[in-house]
Amino acid sequence: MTDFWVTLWTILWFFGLGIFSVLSVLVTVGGGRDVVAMLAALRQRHLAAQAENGPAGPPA
Amino acid sequence: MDALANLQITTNFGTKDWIIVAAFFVAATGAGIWAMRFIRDMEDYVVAGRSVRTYLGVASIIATELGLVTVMYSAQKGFACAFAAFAIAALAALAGLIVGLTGFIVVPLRRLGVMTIPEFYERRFNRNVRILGGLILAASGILNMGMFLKADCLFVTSVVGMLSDLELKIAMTVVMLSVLLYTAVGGMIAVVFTDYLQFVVMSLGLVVTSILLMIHFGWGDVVNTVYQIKGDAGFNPLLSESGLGPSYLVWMLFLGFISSCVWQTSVMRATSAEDTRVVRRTFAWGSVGFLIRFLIPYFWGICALVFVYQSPQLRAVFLPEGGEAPSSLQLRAMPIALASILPGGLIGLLTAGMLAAAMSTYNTYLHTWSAVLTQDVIAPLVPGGMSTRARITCARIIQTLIAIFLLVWGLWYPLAEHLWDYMAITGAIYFVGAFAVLVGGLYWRRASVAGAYGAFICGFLMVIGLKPVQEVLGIKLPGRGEFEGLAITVLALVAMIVLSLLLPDKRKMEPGTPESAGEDAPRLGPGLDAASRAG
Repeated sequence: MTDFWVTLWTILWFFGLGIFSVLSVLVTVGGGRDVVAMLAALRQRHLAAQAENGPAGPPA
Repeated sequence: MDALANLQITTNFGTKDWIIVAAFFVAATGAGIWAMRFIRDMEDYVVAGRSVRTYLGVASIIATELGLVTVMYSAQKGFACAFAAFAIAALAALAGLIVGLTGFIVVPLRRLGVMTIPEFYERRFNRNVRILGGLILAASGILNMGMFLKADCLFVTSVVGMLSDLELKIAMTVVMLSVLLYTAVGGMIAVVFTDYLQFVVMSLGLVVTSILLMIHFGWGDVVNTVYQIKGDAGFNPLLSESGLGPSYLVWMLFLGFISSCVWQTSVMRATSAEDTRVVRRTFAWGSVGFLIRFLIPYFWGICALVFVYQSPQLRAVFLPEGGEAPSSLQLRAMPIALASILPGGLIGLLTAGMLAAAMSTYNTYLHTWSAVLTQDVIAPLVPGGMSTRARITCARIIQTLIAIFLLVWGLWYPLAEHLWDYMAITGAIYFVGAFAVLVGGLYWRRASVAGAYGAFICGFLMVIGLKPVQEVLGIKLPGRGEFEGLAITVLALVAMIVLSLLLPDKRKMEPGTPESAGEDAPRLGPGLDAASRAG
C-alpha cells in the first residue's frame, strides 16, 4: 500500500514542479504583454472620458 | 524562541543577500507608487478598470495565493504530516479546476458586474444583508490575516539568523509599513502590477530552491528517511496517524472549493477580469497554482523534517519524544533548514522572492478588506452616499487600522493549532455562511433575506473551532476543525433552505415575477436579470 502512495506522490511532485516551471515562463512572457495592454487600456479609457467630460484629475 | 537560544544555528545569508533583498524592496515599492498615476475613479482603484487579461490574471492569482504565509503554513504541514500532506494539494487543485471548468459562482458574479460579494447581497437580497455579510466577511478575513505578519517575519528573521523578539518586532513593523505605502496609494492597479513583478521573482526562487533541495537530499533518500521517521503514516493520508484522515480530507476538498469561488480575494480576480471567458481560463489555469502553492512548501517542510532528523541537537528540539513541538517553533524549522542548505546569493534571491510573495498577499488582503468595509458597510450607511475621494480616503484609513491590528494580534495571539488549521477555521467563520448565501442567491429563486441571515449567523459559530476559544468555553472538540466545519456548513445550508421556505420574501410572490413565470434565473431586478443573461 505504501508503494502506491509513494508512486502517486512522486508522480504528482514531478508533474506539479514541471508544469509550474513551464507555466512560470508562459506567464512571465504573456503577463508582461498584458501589463502593457492594461496600462494602455486604462490610458485610453481616461482619454475618452476626458474628451467627453472635460479634464479630470486624480481623486486623491 | 527560547528553545533555540542555546543551539548553534548557522545561516548562509550574507552581505550580497542583503543587497538583493534591499534592491527588490526599493523596486517593488517604487512600482506601486508609480502605478498611482493610473487611478482616476473607484473602478480603477478596486477592480483595475476591469482590464485584466488572462496571463496577468493567472500571475496575480498565483502570486496572491502563494504568499509567504502559505509557504510557512504549508511547510509546517509538510513537516508535521510529511508526504501525506500532498493529498491536500491534490484536492485543492481538483477543486480549483472544477470552479474554472464550470464557472460555478464566479461566472455569474462577473456577469452581474459587482465589485465585491456583499454588493451582490444587496442586489439579490437587501442592504442589511450586504452590511451583515460585509461585516462578517471583513471580520473573518482580518482575523484570518492576523497571523500573516508574524509567520512571514518568522521566516525572514530565521533565515537571516535573527532569533530575538525585538528583531522580530522590528521586522514586522518595517514590512507592514512598506506594504501599506504602496497598497494605499496604488489600489488594485498597483496590486495587479506588483503581483506580476513578484510572480517573476518568486517563481524563479521556488523552482530553483526545489531543484537544489532535491539535489542536496536526493528524492529516494527523502522518501526513505520519512519512512524511517513516520512509517506508512508519512505517506497514506487516509490513516488518522498521518494527522489527516478521511473526514479531514473531505473538509480540505470543501475548503479548496470554497476558497476558489467564495473567498473575496479570489473572487476579486473574477470581478476584475475582462470577461467571463477570462474568468474561466484564469481559474482553470490558476488550479495549477492551487496545486503548486501547497506542493512546493510541503516538500520544503519534508526536507526540513529530514534535515532536523539528521541533526541530534535540532531533533531534540523539533521532534520531542511523545508529542509535537509547539506550533510557533515548528514554523521555524523550514527557514532554518533552508538557511543552512542554500548557498549565499540564492538565499538572498529566495528571501526577496518570499518577501515578494508576502507583500503580494498583504497588498491584496489590505486592499480587499478595506474595499469591502468601505463599499459594503460604511458607504451604504452614509446618508446621500460617499464621493469617490471620500471612499478612497476611507479605504486608506481602514488599511492603516488593519495594519496596526496585524502588528498587535501577531504578537499577542497564542497559536495553539497548526497555522493552516488556524487559517481554515478563521476563514470558515465567513465562508461557511457565505457559501449557503451565494449558492442560494445565485441558483435558487426562493432564497430569502431570512435564509441569508440564518446562514450567516450559523457560519459565525465556526469561531468555536479555535483552541483558545474552546479553552474559554471550557470545551475540547476532537480533530483540527473538520468536524465543526462540515457540521456548520450543513447547518448553514439547512438554515438557508428552512428559513427561506418559512419566511419568503414578499416581492417574490408577486405575479409576473420570474418565479411565477417559471424562470430559473435569480430574481435580481430587471437590470440585473438582463445583465446576468446577456453575459
